[in-house]
Amino acid sequence: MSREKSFNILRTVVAMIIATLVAFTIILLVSENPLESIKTFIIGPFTSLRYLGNIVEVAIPLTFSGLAMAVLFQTSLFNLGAEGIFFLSGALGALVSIWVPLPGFIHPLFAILVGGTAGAAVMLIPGILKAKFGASELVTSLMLNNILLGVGCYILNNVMRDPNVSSLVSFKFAETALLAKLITGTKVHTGLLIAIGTVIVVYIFLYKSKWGYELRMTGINKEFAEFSGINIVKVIILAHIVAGFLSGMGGVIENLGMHKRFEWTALPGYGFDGAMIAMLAGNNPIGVVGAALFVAYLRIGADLVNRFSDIPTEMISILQCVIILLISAERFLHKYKQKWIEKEAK
Amino acid sequence: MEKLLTIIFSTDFFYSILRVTTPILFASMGAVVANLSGTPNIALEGIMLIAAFVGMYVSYLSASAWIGLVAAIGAGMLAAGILAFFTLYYRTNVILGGIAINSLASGGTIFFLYLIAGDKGTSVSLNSKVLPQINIPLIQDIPILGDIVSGHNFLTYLSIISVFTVYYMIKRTPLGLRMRAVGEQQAAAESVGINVIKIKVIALLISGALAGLGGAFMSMGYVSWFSRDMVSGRGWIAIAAEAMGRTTAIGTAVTSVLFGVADAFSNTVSVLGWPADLVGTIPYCVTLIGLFIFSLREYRKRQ
Amino acid sequence: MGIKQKVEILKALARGAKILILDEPTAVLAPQETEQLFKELIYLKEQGHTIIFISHKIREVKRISDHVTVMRGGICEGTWKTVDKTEQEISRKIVGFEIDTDLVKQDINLQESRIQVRDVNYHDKENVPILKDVNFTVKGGTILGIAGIQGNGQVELIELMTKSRKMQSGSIIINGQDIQKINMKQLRNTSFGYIPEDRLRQGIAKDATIMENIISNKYNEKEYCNHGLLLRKKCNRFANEEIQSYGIKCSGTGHKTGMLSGGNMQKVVVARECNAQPKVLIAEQPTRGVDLGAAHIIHKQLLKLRDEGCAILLISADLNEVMKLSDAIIVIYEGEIVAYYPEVSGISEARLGLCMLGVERHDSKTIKGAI
Repeated sequence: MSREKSFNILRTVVAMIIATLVAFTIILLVSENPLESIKTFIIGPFTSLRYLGNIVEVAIPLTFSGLAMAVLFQTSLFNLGAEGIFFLSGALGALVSIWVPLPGFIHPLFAILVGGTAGAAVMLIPGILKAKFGASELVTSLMLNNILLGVGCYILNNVMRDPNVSSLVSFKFAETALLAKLITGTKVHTGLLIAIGTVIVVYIFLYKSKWGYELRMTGINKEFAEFSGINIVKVIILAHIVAGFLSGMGGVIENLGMHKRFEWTALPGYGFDGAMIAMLAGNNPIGVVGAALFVAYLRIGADLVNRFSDIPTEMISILQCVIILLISAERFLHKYKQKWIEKEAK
Repeated sequence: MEKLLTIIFSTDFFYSILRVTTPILFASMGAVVANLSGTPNIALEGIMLIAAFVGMYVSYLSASAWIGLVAAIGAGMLAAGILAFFTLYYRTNVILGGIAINSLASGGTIFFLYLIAGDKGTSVSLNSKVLPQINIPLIQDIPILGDIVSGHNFLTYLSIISVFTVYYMIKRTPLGLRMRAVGEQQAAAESVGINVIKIKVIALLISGALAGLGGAFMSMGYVSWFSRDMVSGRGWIAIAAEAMGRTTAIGTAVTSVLFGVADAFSNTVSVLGWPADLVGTIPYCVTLIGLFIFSLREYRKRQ
Repeated sequence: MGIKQKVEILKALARGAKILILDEPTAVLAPQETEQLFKELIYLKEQGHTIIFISHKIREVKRISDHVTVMRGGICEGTWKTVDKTEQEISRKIVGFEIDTDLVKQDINLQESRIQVRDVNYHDKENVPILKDVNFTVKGGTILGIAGIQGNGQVELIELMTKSRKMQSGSIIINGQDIQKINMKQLRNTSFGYIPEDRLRQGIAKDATIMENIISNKYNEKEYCNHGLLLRKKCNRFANEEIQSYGIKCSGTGHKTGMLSGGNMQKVVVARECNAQPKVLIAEQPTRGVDLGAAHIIHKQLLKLRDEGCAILLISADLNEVMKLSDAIIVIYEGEIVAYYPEVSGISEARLGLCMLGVERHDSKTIKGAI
């Protein structure tokens, strides 16, 4: 491993440590019982099988969103539309799960396929606008998030709302559509296997296939890619389609694995987390797994602290901000980077 | 159909256009100043939200809307300052820095709201103040025009003034000239001795202040409370407006009003019984379509 | 340019400078301007100023300096009185081994016309003419050198030929294809190679590994790619071969290209472009900022391609390089071809310099000879 690579990993670890210290500071300032709270935050998630299961459960949708963002970031695209696609694909997958009768194994797979395809199709909008016309994919994707939220809510309210239940939820998903539980004592579901499989596929795509090569070269140096004969327009659109499909998968899998009905009334937040996870992972699919588990661990920790001492779980957003700022700051620890790399030259 | 037309061609509708355009106008002026100097401020959405929260809270603490307003502007500048520090010194990618601040704003505001007031998501228990409405003497008595133009919140009038202020600053002041130089050709500006970093920081701080005004309006004029994610994408719409307005004050103001019309329209027709979920997407659809048309035209020009 | 150079020196002197450091000052000068610069430097020296003259042009160093210091690999190899060392000895110190400074050129292996530039005119956004009636042909097996001071339209001409700019009038035919009718991928597929002037911008992807950079023009071929999957072992083997034959100093094929020195980076670019056995190669400032040893290897490679029948268009601000490698030379001044030399032996540098400065030009009959 080159010195530069090892330095980058070191820097990421430092960023994570600083974020954790920030968390400690917040807990110290806010909690009436800071030491207990900190202990809960750090160790709590490991204290029972159920909590450990929670980490894995939360990590599953985060993995999909992290993969989607990793693909986009590798192409130097800043599209945050995963958020809205999670939501809409979840809703469409719900429709399939409620009303399309299919045998047990096929049903969830078909729903995931529908969600993924819908996600890919939707991503064509910012994708084509950026690839052909140069429109900012950041703004178009954020507009889409709000639009998809509206459309998804409309579907929930007007098409699949269960009138027999007082809260705003959809009809029950068919039994055949649900993803089976994997580990007893937890809610970990077969979505985990799909996630692991997807990670491997995305890894092969990015690092072993020629399309992944074109994508990465475009992200590193667009002019170089053009001059090598790579079709930039196709690459940008492809990146969007892949990211859309991955986000769509994530939305459906989360619903069919952890819920019995479609219950989201607001954007679930996985999409934005995906950006941070991709960054922590250095945009590497294998790293996404670790980063997703880390972020999930933070979330469960914050959840437990919230129950124990009433600190709002939104503390996570503050940590997120710190992590993103520190990791993306190229000059962070810049002086040490020189020394670290120079040691090798000697 | 008839009902729709009567509602749209009413003074109430035009009045509401001015009202809802206010935050977009402030933020888009901030976007103009920042982009002009070569350092786009992607964090406008988050800055507005932070300012909305701070304005609400400080106005409650001080029992004065004005002090709250000043605090909101200050908070906007502080957040912009953090962005400036990380992007200009630590060389954080501008877009990622913006995402980080937006994340901070979204969660941080809810976090602090709960800590200080025990409210979960909406500041119902805090008696925060609101900026005054101004009834312009003489004008308010003019039929039709009076109903549209007079009686707005103080900040609405300020937002219109800000357009002309920004325009004047860009075109006529030395600072504006330096900003344009830095934004267009940084190396050339440097070679004649302009302190590029200083100009960029000033530009970001100004954009933060303007976004702060926009955020203050949300919680102290549009409504009189703070609630989760209440900026609802107006910061992003402002960025789109600035892109379509080609980084000019007047052009951006025009596109901002356009989006304000869409916003007002969506508010209005929801009264008519159209499905609220879909109607709420109108401003965003209009922005998307606007960006599409704009990019298409730019593309054709390049050919 | 010579005047701008003078202004820079005056700026320094006006501030009361007693020590002048000049870093490659003659890269942008014509021979006459270089002479004048040297006269001025000698005058300043006699006035008591101290001058540090940094250059890789050994001849100039011999001409103008009293003492010479050679640095290699960050270490000082020594300081001597200039009169005590010959050019050979200095160059040996710089590179560390003996270079055969005489590159042997084979007889011309003439083939058909591969590059045909006809009536190319180009003006910029403000309608200022950048290229005027440019006409020339490059045949396979020859090197056509374009001599000219930087900023006289060479960059734009190359951008037109490599499709970075849109043509406005005239035609450019490469390998029998009208470049306006095909896209970059197709152009590359016609055995077209390009060594760009700005290697960091176009030549390499600096965060990618050497291997990833070297296969950028062959990753689609059956040999390196099977059903969409890149055959890593083959790619790495190829990269290693090139690293060996060009002597690229690195820690392996996984080394980030951006971390290499300028010369080594250029070797990666040249290796990639030349290995593809192009029928047409455009070499733009191929040895700028490159150390002597690497420059020598690159020159040898260009000549090898020429001997194998490639048509090479060489653009360089280094007159020595142009004269050493080219079979024929055209001089460009303010976007126009002002001189054509069908043979390189016997060209007087002084006259060439005058053409580069726009003072002299050949008659139109001679210039038509370039077609």
